[in-house]
Amino acid sequence: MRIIRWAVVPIALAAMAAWAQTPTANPGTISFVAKQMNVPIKGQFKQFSAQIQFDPARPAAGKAAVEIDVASLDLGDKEFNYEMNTKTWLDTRTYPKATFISSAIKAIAPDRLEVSGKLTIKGKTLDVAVPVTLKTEGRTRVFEGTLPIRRTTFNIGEDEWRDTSVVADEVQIRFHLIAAPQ
Amino acid sequence: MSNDNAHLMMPYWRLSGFYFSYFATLGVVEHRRRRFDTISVGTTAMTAPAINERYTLTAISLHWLVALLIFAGFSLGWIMTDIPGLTPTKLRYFSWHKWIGVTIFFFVCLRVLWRLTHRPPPLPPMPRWQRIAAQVSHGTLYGLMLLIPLAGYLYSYAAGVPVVYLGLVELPPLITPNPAHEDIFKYTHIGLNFTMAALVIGHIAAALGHHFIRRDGVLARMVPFLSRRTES
Repeated sequence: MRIIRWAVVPIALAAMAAWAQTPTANPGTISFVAKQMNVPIKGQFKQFSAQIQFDPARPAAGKAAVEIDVASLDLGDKEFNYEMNTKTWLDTRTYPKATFISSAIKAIAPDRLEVSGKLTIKGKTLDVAVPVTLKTEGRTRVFEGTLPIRRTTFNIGEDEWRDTSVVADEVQIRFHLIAAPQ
Repeated sequence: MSNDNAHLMMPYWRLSGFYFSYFATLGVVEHRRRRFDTISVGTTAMTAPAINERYTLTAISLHWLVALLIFAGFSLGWIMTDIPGLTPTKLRYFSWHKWIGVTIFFFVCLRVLWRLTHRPPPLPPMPRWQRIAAQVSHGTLYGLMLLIPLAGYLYSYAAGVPVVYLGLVELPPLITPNPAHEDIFKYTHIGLNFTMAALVIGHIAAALGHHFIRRDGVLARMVPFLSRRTES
């Protein structure tokens, strides 16, 4: 009992640290849309964290880091969720996290940014430029946009699924990130 | 006298009946056949008591087209749900199954409209309960042919998966996704399917019974190449 009680403390501290890192209680949503014979299949990641430092006066000095808990993926169907975690698709046991780390932020318009950085999914890293729309809602800032990726580039869907006639290669990643004032 | 030569002993009007049946199979239009019927009734009082009239060519075509689609859709539904896990073939079959269902729904709507505006050919004399049984089972089949695709459609949308007809047109969502409704529509879809399977077996058994045992021409009303005059 004593051991268990002492174990609780660091876990609670770790949890509090994670809480402090998340910008708000509601960090927003990260979802995706894949197409299966032109049928839009929607899913979302229920757990992720995003750290965003952004000053509209100095956008280039901003930084963004997003870490997704890939196994929290939800397609709305138990069987499909299970399949997505397997080696064929996202292999979440080997690659539990998907990340995006910004390297440069460029303001294109007052409410539009281009965030370049490294996207890592299933252990594969790719340089991407993400178009972001910036919205200010009261005291919070919302960063949202869509990033199209090619699933085969990241080996998502191996073997028979490499054929893109049933599940299309392009997958749209949609994000809506809410950042509290700093 | 052997049965092989029976047709040689047939009166001329029966031979001409075969002749016209032959043309009917080639798609000779309805009114020619009808004119012949009138003539034959006028010339012979001895014609078999079997009925002479058929369903319209439109009704016959729709019946067999829908029958084929139902058979394909049912088999595909059975096969695809037996495939374990997730495979491209399974997903492909799911899409085809849905397209077939939408097609059936469309053609059955046409059938209902046609049936409501066109009187079906009369039934031969039969007990009242059989007439009622035929009417009730036909009515139920029409209902099921509309309800089964509808339940499947709602099942798909309750699961949050839109139906994209032929991979081209996304059909309107009639309901919002809801996991609780998913199972209701799923088991409705399956339950109604087994109800229909039982009715279809009865439907086929009745048709074959009429043709081979009663020989009263009931099946010929729906089969263009069957002789309308069966031996009595």
